[in-house]
Amino acid sequence: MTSHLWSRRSSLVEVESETRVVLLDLDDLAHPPRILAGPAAAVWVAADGSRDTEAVCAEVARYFEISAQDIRTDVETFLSDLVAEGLLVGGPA
Amino acid sequence: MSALQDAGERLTQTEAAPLIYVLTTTVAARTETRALAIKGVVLAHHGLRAPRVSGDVDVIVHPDDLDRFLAGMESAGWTANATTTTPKLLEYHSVDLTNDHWPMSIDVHSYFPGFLAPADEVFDRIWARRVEFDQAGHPVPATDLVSSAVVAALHYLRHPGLAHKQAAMETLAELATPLFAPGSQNATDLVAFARDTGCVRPLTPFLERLGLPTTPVHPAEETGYERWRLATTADPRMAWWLEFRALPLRRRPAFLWYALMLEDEELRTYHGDRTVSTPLWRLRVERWKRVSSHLAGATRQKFSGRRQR
Repeated sequence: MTSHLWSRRSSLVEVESETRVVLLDLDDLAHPPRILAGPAAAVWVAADGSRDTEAVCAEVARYFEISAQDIRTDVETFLSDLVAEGLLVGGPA
Repeated sequence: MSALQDAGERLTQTEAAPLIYVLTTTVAARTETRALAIKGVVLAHHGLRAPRVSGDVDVIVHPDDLDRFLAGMESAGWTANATTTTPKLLEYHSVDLTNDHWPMSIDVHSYFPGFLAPADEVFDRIWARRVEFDQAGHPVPATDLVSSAVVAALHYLRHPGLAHKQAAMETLAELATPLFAPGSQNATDLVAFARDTGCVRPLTPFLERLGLPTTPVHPAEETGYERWRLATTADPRMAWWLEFRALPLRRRPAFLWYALMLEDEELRTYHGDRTVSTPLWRLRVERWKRVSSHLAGATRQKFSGRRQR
């Protein structure tokens, strides 16, 4: 997972506030809008196409002022969830 | 963090509105229909209203495209609420779309009261002037400054007796005055647009306030204005009486029965208590009570008026 640069699907429209991100998938308009809050929103914001898993962990850790090692498993799991939901794609680093 | 979405999180109207505008624009593109954002945030975009979140999103669709657009919205999970068939002083002008996953409804107009020219002609004029504004990073077609000002003014002038509409009209006039100074291009465009869409007479209080000419030219203003005048000055329930009076005698009993009972769906939608559990008979009885109370009040007012004379 570490070799991927994580980026968002191009069909997604997003509205971002300080602690939340709301997503609408234009390829699936009937799907309810997805709400990412707190750490989930932080991971989403970090996965902007310029970061791999290491860098996403580092960015989220920096934001919450905690150790990247402490959140690595959670972040990896969540990145997998986002891929499974078709929201995030992993490209070559 | 592993759960993608906390079930307790609720979408706010501030978050929903821009996404809904993008959604309706996408549906319009995919159904090859013409749809424009009107009112609400569009007015704020043009400086005709203070920025604030509206309770719903309004779009106007070409009358010929309405069914296709609504089918597209239905595919996207939105449901059209039952349209009431009760008599109206002005033609019913929008379809209300709701979706349990979204915190606000969408009003889809194919016609806007106050424009007395044919609806397709009016839409073509509005469409020709359209602009795009940014919502959630996407371009959304919307009414331009001129048509936005006219739509807003007609909206407020539809209920001239309501204090909050008067206040909104006052604010609109204050904000519009520097934008439509007599002799400016905006003012020239506003007058031409009002003439072309047959709304000079309904719009006269607004035009006078801006110091602009109020001479109608569209033939529809001759035929349609009386209905507008009545609708904006009479009690809306007067529509029942007017329709009853216009009916041939043989159709009046069925009309009275309908007036008494209404269709189940419209009773639930327009006279319900936002639940599906209240029995229809109870909603009917509550409505009868309200009607009786209104009739009693109106009768008292009438006799009191006579005594004073």
